[in-house]
Amino acid sequence: MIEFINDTLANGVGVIRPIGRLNMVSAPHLGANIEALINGGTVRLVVDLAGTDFIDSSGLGALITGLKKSRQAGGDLRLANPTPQITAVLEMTNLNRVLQPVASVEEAY
Amino acid sequence: MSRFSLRADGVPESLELVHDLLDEVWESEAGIDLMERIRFETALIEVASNIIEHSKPASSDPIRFRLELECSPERLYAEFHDNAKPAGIDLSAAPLQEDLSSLDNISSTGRGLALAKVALDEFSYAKLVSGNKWTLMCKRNASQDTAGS
Repeated sequence: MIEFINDTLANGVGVIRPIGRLNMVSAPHLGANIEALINGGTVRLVVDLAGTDFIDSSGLGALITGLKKSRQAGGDLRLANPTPQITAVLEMTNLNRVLQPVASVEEAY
Repeated sequence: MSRFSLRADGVPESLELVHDLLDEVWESEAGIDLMERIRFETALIEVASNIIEHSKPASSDPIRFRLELECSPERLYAEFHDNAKPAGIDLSAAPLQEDLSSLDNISSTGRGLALAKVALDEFSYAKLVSGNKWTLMCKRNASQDTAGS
């Protein structure tokens, strides 16, 4: 149902690419991926949402938790390439004020 | 007007069935505005998730739900019926306004029904004698334009 393709850029930024839908089934996997990167010392993160077809409130929750954990570790979590549904959900919840997406992974940092 | 329906177990895997049914609606009803599809699908998945995650069985029968959809030029309409213990949910107690000034104050949970409420034009919940009923409605742009003219 969902797949995560992760890599690390030359500048040390960790990129997480959820491919599929982020919902109550898959959101815990996103949280685990974020936590594993932070625990491994990669604290500047980008979640590349180009392949994420859908997000629900549990997916948003995993992003908020990831944002908090990365900041606590001295880093940050930023969003890139949101699909229209994700942009709409961020706007409807006003969470675009704390998770403001950028148009590409390269622009995130 | 076209109608669609499904019956499913109250398990997380059933969310895919809701998405699949909506894909069927979008395929058979070309021309529904992207934002209308997004608002409706987002709300439906939040309600289905709520039923799946929070319902308590009313008897020894496992939780099941029925989803009925209607698509017309004026609106997208859905009803969920489940056989769970009546939950007595107060949708007015699901506000989305929260203090976003500090990350510490932003919760990771408890946003689902509030999001559905914002996404929809009408949203209601009713406790039934044996179960729960949710109704969801998004007006379509065409009808809003007509109403405004």
